[in-house]
Order: sequence, then structure tokens, then C-alpha cells
Amino acid sequence: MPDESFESSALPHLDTLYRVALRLTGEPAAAQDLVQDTMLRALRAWGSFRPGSNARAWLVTILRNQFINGWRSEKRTPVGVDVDAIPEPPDPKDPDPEGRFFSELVDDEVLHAVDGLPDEFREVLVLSDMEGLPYAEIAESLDIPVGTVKSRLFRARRILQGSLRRYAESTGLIPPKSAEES
Amino acid sequence: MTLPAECETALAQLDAWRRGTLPAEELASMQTHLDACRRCLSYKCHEDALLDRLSNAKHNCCCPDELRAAIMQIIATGSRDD
Repeated sequence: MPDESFESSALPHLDTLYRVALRLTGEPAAAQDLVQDTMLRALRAWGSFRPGSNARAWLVTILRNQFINGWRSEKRTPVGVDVDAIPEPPDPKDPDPEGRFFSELVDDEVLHAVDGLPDEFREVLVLSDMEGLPYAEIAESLDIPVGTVKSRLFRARRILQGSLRRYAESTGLIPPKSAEES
Repeated sequence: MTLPAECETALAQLDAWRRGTLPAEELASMQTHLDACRRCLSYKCHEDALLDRLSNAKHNCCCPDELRAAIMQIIATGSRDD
């Protein structure tokens, strides 16, 4: 058994685990169940945890595997997201060149757009841009190369920006681009 | 749309620049490019604003007390089983 206690290693990451679970499942009750299952499984597997290794990455890996194996449902598959239609970077004629409209959006609108991302983009974006995990830790947690983390993150941000821009335009936060500008 | 090579390079290095892992010589050329290229500067501003917004969104969401209590119960039960 490692010298570190499960309690001291795992409990500091509960907020992160809950937020990641919430973004994966999309439902608070399901997120709570997923985190409980994750912690139960982690506690049982604690003997295999290598002392000094990254407990957060280990826990996120367990949570994600639990989600994939038992929680992911068809209804979570986003519809209407064309991942190949990546919005282009803003141009100098952009009506909001500094992206001020982002600060006008409320949390629910931002999180709703995050929830609309396809799984493989959403999980990378949540771990990197909401939880602040380094690329290497995300790669370890998701069992993918660092280069894949970077490329998915790039696409995730662009899709999300496009989605939030369309929302901002539809609600009048920013004027829509004219046809010749787009 | 195809971006000029120097823009592609700058945009690819933005994250390293934000994370403070960009080598000094590339840091200088990145800053020079951003000073001269409105498109890349606008891109950076949009991404900075998005990242700031995402980071803020997380602060209003943390593990509920009832879940924390349930986890403590799981740990206590697990410890007794050892």
C-alpha cells in the first residue's frame, strides 16, 4: 500500500472530478453518481497506485473509463455540429475584434455551448481550458498523444468560438457579419 | 482560407506563449508578429477572452456537499473493510 493515504491524495481533486463528470454527463445527478462510482473504484484500486505519480490524472482516467463503459448514452451525442466546418479566425473587419462579447455571456450560455461539443473535443477542452491540466497530464488521462491533445484543443476552441459567436449574433450582443465580410 | 506561414507559426505557438514555455528567441518573434499582424492579434484576443470566460465559468461550480459527504462515507467504509 502506498505511504500516501487515499483520502489525502484523492479528496483535493473532488471539485475537478465533479466538474468533469458534469460536463461529460450533462446532468448533476448523473455526475454525482459517476463521481461516487469513480471514487469507489479508485479506493479499491488504490493498492495499484504508484506513490509519487499524478493522482489527479489517475482519477480522471478512472472517471473517464467509467463514463465510457457505463455512462455514455446516445442522447449525449451532440447533433448539428459539423466538426469539419471549423470557423475561420476573426479578421480585422470583425465588429468585435477583441472578443468582448465573451464577457457578456452568462455561465449557462457558455456551458451549454461546451456541452454541445462532440465528446472527444469536449473532454480535452474541459481538462485544459477549464481545469488547467497540462498537455502531458491530459494525454496521460485520455491515453492519447500530446499532439492529438493539441489538435483537438485547437478544433474545440474554434468550434466553441463559432457557436458562441452565432449565439451572440442571434441575441444582438454583436452585429452579424455581412455576407461580403464572412 | 490559407494563412501565411508566419501566421500559422504564431497561432500554433500561442498556447506555449500563454503557458510560459516558449523559448526566449521565439517569444521575441511572436511579439513582433503580433505587433504587426492585426488578424493574429484579433485571433489571440478572441482566444484570450474565451479562455478567461471558460475559467470563470468553473468557479461557480464545485462538488456539492452531499456528494462530498457520500465520498467520505465510502472512504470510511473502505477503511473499515481493510
